[in-house]
Amino acid sequence: MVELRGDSVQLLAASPNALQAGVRAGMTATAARSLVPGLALVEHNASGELADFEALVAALCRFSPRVFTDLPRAILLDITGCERLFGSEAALAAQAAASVERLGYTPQMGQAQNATAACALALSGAAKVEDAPVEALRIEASDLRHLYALGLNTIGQLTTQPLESLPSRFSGLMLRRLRELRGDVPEEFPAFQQPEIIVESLQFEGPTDRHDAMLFALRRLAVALEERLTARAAGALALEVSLRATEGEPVRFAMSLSRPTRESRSLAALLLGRFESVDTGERWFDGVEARVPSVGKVQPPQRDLFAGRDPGAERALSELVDELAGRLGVQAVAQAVLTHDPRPERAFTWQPFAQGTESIKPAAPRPATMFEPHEVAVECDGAGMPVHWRDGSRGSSLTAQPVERVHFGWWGGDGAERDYFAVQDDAGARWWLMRRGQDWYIVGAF
Amino acid sequence: MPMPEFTGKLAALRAVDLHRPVARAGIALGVPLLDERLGGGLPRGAMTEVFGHAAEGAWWLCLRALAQVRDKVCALVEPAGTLYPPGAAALGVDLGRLLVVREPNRKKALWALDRIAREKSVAATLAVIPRLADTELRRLQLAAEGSGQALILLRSPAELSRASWGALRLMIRAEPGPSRRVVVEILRMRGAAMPRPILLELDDDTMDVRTSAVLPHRADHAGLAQSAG
Repeated sequence: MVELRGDSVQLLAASPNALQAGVRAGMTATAARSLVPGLALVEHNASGELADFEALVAALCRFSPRVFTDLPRAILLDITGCERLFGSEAALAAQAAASVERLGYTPQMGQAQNATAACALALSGAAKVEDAPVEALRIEASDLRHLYALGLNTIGQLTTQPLESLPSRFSGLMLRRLRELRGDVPEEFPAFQQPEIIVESLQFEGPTDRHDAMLFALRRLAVALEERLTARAAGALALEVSLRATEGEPVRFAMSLSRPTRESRSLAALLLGRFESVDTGERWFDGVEARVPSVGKVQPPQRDLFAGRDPGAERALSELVDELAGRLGVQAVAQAVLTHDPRPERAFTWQPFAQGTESIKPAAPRPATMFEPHEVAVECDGAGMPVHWRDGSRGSSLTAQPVERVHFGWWGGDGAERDYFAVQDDAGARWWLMRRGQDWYIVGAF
Repeated sequence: MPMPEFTGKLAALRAVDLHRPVARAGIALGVPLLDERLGGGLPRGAMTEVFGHAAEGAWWLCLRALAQVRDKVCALVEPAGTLYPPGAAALGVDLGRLLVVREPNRKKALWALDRIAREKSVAATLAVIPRLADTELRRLQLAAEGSGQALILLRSPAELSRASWGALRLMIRAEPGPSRRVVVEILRMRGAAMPRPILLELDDDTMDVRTSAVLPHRADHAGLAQSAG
């Protein structure tokens, strides 16, 4: 990884293979390439690296309440006492490594009695601190150049030197690192503060309009969001996604969740389902960002021994509702709630589905289906009861049940009066007829 | 040579028929005569096709099935949006446990149905989507088998000639009479001979079944074998 400094391109970091070949941080790119012809150089993206690094740190907060950073080199977890929650230090380390891998990174971990030693082990990959190269001490490039000139390449070689002889040649930072390594001085790292709102983003390698690339990105973001939410012991109650277009405004979509959710599988199903209904047009995109503006506490599943509830089924149902609502809209996944309004068309309302609402049972017979009023010609007997109807070429005699007269709305100025009849035609089919003034309509079927 | 204590277990294992379908209790309609003929009601883990018109009792039968479900949620997918919730409640459907997909777009509604049919936490789904293709029906049948749901498709009699993947096909029609009468004809029932049609006489006010009777195959209603409903 290189960065332009002044007139020269300097190496900031090198891969283990490059280090073995003698490449060192602080070298110029020309010097490095003279050692390793064809060495791949990657330009340092400081802002992107910082954002990714912070997301990674946030995800690791689930393993320790004391997380520190040495930006942009290392993440430090003080796991004193935390190992009990995970079984052992090894189990904690394994889970932390798995977390990092799930986010798409290769973990390089070190564990030691103090942070400087642990950092040295993690950064170098060495088995022992003594074998780690001196750059693992996170010291200045000028100090490294002096050390290489003196033939001091490993921390072991450096620590054999008398500390008193070093001040004149090296910076205060290197001396401090050596004292930290010995445990002579306390180590100071900035504590990591989790951001208020969880934001995860993914930058594409280049602009794309490919649908599968978007789906892949959304799945990756779901995994990242799960790590972040797990670190907070929370679940998402809302999601906002922004697809960064190369031209014009980003394409945004949002969704609400019926319960706090953090499983990547569920989040991915929601994101993908909602994305399917988003019109991206002919645009190209270079990245995608997901935000969690609202979180809630995730209730651990409990067996309800008395009420016969199945928490697993309830969770699955919530996921189903969220997935349907994400793709079709909240209003499309509904339940009916009956009202006391006498007008048949207002005798119920639709609400977003949330099982458990009690409903009123209607007193009078009601049809199973209702449709737009369809006008028909009806003949009545002397008592005003319908006895025959005609609709175009079709016709039938009718047997009617007693009329149900509905008066309503006079207090609001839109008063009306209607009569409803449950009728049976001569084929045995049963309909709901409405009379408004002199006009007759079929409005439902039983 | 197997040890004596394993001989019995071995014989028991050999006796297991891996191809035998797993028996699941159906959704009883609460009409003993009809439930008995249906082998316990509308089958779970399978698709039931109900052919008939709304005014002739097709919706009545489907909603009656949903009303019998007490332990889990039911779902309705109907792009036309004709369900009248007070009518469903009058038949005993718990509206608080009825998830209604109000999506007029047929393609989206079909996606929703496919998704719901795969959901184990839903006990039964009623779908009223016209002109389902054979492949779509096959997918739905497999989804119901996987989830264990009773998937009920309410279809127009005009679609009777289409291929069937359902485990059960019912034809519902009205019968003239002084009160409401509904005939349930079993057109197809997997693994069973087709029983004769059942005539149900309903109470005009409560829509409950007053009596049920077995009809001869032909529309000859003389000599009904009356039985309590």
